[in-house]
Amino acid sequence: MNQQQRIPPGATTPGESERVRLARAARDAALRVPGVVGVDAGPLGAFMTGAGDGERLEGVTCVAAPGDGYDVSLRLVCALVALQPLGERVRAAVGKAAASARIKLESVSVHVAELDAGGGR
Amino acid sequence: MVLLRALARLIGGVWMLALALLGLGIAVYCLDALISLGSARPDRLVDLASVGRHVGRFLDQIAARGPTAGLALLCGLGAMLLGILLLLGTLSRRKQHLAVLEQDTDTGALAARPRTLREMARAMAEQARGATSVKRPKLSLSRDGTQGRLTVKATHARSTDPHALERAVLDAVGPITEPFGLKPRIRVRLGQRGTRVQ
Repeated sequence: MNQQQRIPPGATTPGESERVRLARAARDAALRVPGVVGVDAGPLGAFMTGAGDGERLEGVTCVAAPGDGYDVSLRLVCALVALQPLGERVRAAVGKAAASARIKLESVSVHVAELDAGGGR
Repeated sequence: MVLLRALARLIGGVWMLALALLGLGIAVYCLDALISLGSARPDRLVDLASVGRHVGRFLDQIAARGPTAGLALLCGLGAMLLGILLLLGTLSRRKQHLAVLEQDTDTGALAARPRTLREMARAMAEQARGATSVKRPKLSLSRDGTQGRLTVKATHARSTDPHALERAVLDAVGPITEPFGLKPRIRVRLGQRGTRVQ
């Protein structure tokens, strides 16, 4: 059973690590992209980033890359839209969010996990 | 292969449990050197002496000619076969579960789950002009997920040209098949009475 969550973009919590800040910013940026309906935590609910205080940022993982930046992966629930342009838009949005948070981004992987045919915006 | 993988995992778990129990037994046995455990000593609890006698008798029967030796040979061959199957289950490569649109070590990957692609293909094919119904498409992917084949089965009304519908479905699923490197295969047949044109 997939665990899906529709999360409104939220504010960052002060004092959290750079990795968690980037995961939060990436998830929020992706959710603002038209065509993205939600995030998906995977079949076991393990595709997430723990925010330290028990909060789970579902549908996003953020790992330190060898080249001094971070690799961000997103599992998204999408509307019936063309996937390649959607992926590019998500990448661009995450890149912009990382730049505004002044965190170096190495790569962004986008996995379309579910389709929500009625979720077009 | 899925069954073999599950069996390998199960046997791995059971083996770990057995090793943990054996370690615990040895630890308790060693403790007996400091504190006398009496009848609570693990070898006395499981009566190792009588187990040794039973096993010794069985080993003697195996060494001698007779039906037990034949049975032991069969069991040995079975165990070897099971071992080979478990090795296959453990070492075989997992099938790719993502259809990959882009894979770049520098920029990242763009991918989709096959189920999602099938749902999208069906939703798009249903919008093709003249299609009365579309079955759940089949998607077979290559090992690396960069290529594959998408089979869509659609039905048409008597008044619809099947070739026109085939072209329409092909065009409809194009936004999925082209970027994902999927070879489309469209099968069109006459629908049964009572189905409606979209």
